[in-house]
Amino acid sequence: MKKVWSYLFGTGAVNCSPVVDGNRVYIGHGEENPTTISRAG
Amino acid sequence: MKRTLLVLSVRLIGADIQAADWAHWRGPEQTGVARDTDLPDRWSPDETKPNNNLIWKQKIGGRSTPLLMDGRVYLINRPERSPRTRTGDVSARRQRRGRLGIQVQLSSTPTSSACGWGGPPWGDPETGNVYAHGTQGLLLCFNKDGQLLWSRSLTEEYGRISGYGGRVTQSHRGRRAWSSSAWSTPAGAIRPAAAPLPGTRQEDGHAGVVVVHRIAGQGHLLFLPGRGGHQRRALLISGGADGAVHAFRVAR
Repeated sequence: MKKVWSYLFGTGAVNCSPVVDGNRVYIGHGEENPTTISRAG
Repeated sequence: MKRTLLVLSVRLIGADIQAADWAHWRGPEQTGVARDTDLPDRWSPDETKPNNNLIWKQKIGGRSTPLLMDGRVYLINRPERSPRTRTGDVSARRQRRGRLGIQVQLSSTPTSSACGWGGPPWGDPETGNVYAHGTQGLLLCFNKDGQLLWSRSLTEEYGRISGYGGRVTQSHRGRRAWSSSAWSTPAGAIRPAAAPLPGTRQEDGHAGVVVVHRIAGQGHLLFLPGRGGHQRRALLISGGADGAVHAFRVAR
């Protein structure tokens, strides 16, 4: 398989399964956002 | 302590209701969405209640999401929590309506609470075959009667170290049958090779294959029951251990 694209949005492992609707990808994570200093609740 | 992975099938002969197949744990379209309408707005398993909507029940419980395919329910469970178990072989027998029909036991060494973490079973409605990734690291294919068609060792063939400690995510690859599970791997141990598997559905001359990829130490298994032309442009989209979501071109 060849990687087509990647998007970094968490600071830990991503355990959530994605949902794809058209050209939109919905996925979550349970850790910190790499662009914020707030702590995840 | 040696424990056992169990695959069960419950035959629903003459069931009073008909429902769409639910051959993947995230639903028919693998999106977590049910398109059925007129769903019940109440739910009660209490048979003593006059307004309960219980049709049948079995003393089977566990972490595995059950599959519904062609009137049968498939799930993975610990044998000590299920009635009528056998060890070390594959057995199938006719049972009366709503009773256990098929039980398959396979040696495994998970922690007691981890059975089913390797990945829930998933089915191919076109062939009726059921696939399972056990915590012992075996990828298994059964026909609808519970006969084992083939098994592959992810440890010996793909460098798997452990899987039950990792969460199982389901990657997205459209509406076709497939599955994905995560496990721990050493760097560079995953082989991206894909080999045709016997007994799988043929599409445009392509047999089923196993494809694996590794993201920051987390391996993912992708199983394709068949590879037709419609799959050549399909993407596998999955979260990784590095905090990113990745998209891969599936075609070889």
